Amino acid sequence: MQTFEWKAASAYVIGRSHEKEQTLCQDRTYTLQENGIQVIALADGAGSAKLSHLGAEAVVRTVSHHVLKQFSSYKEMDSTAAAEQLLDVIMQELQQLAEQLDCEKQELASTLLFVASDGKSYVSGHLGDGLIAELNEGLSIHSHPDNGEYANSTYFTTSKDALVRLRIRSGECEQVGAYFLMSDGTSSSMYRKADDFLSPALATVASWLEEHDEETVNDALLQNLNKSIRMKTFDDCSLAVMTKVVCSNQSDD
Amino acid sequence: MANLELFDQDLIDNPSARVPVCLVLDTSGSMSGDKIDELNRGVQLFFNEVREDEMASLSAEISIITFGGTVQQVVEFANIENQTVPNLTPTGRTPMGEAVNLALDVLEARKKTYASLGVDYYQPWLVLMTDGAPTDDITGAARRTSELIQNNKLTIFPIGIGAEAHMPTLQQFSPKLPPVKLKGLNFNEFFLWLSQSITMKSQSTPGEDVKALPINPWADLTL
Repeated sequence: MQTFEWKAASAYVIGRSHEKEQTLCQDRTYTLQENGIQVIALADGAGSAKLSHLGAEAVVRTVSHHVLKQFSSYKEMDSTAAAEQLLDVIMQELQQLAEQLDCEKQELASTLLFVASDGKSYVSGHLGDGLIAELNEGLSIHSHPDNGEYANSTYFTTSKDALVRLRIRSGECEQVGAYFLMSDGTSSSMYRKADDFLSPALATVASWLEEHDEETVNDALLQNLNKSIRMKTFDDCSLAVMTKVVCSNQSDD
Repeated sequence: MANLELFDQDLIDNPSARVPVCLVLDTSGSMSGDKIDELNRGVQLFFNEVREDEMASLSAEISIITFGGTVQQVVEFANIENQTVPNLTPTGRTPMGEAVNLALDVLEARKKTYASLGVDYYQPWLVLMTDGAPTDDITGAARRTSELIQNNKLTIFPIGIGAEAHMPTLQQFSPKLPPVKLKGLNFNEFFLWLSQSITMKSQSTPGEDVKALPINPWADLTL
């Protein structure tokens, strides 16, 4: 009998617009694995918020550790209750950080995307733009971007309607081979909005983790974001991927 | 790491998010002489500047509506590379209300086209320039722009040209920001500012407040 484990990689790079303005990259990613549970998280800091890179960094770290620890209870929880609980955790973290930095919480605003899975079940969350995709028999969209009417409008952790905009889902995922998180900068190279089409390049990226260690794929993602993906947008670009790989063949007898 | 490389052909090319800009320009008889000459030079410069900027040329979509005797859409929304800059000639009266109504209609139609094609877009911009007072009823048009502006669905730049420009009329179209009078006939400076502002807008990301560039190169700020 084959057994599986998750492997994950991620990277983020500054966009050409922020580079020109000599400001910082506001995208952040995080990967975490413990006790057979893999979490990947991504946050895109709000453009107008000067410290949003710090908010994004805190949110991906806090959410990853919290969801990993509470994975079993999130699996069973009603999605609204799950959103309330998670947003409470995020707000506490941002409040603490705001006090440390002597700033308003709004200065730490970011989007949020994450997936956690033990291989059989998953919990995912999405607030704002960016995209979550999965690889099953083919590539499909797990969660669409949530924009306002205009290209530069979306929802953030500190938005007043964050609770109703935070989409928490859970379910079975035994057939899922990979999950992908991408910021809107990266999705402009990986997702065609006009016909809801995902680039086969995502499946290619997922397959790298089958043959290479996570550090190598982290480096490869960084190089590809820098060389190709960010050249198709002016925005910061980030990508996180987790792939289910065969880890051993156990005898049935 | 040669085998861990994505190639351009693996990636998707999405159209850039569009910034629809409608210039609503007074070409009534009173614009004759230096005013129309300078306006024509300014519009030409505007197209040149937008074409020369990588991001603005991919994002800006420009339409021109004139009001001089009749109201005409002399430039329809299209890729700027395929557009011809018109030579505007002054004639007749000043049907400003009708012109603004047409501008709002074409902006709305353009947004629907973007949505149907899956193209992202920014809040539309409307530039209204006049050297006088309207000769038709502007009440309905001013109500429409005011509602759109209050709902963050339109940005308007009302610009008065010369001493006879009726600024209280322009104010009716713009509930948030006061109209601005052009310094002399500095159309070039205004259109340079407009193209630079479009460039900034087209690079703005979610949650970003695009800071307005200083308007003193073209605006008459004397009281």
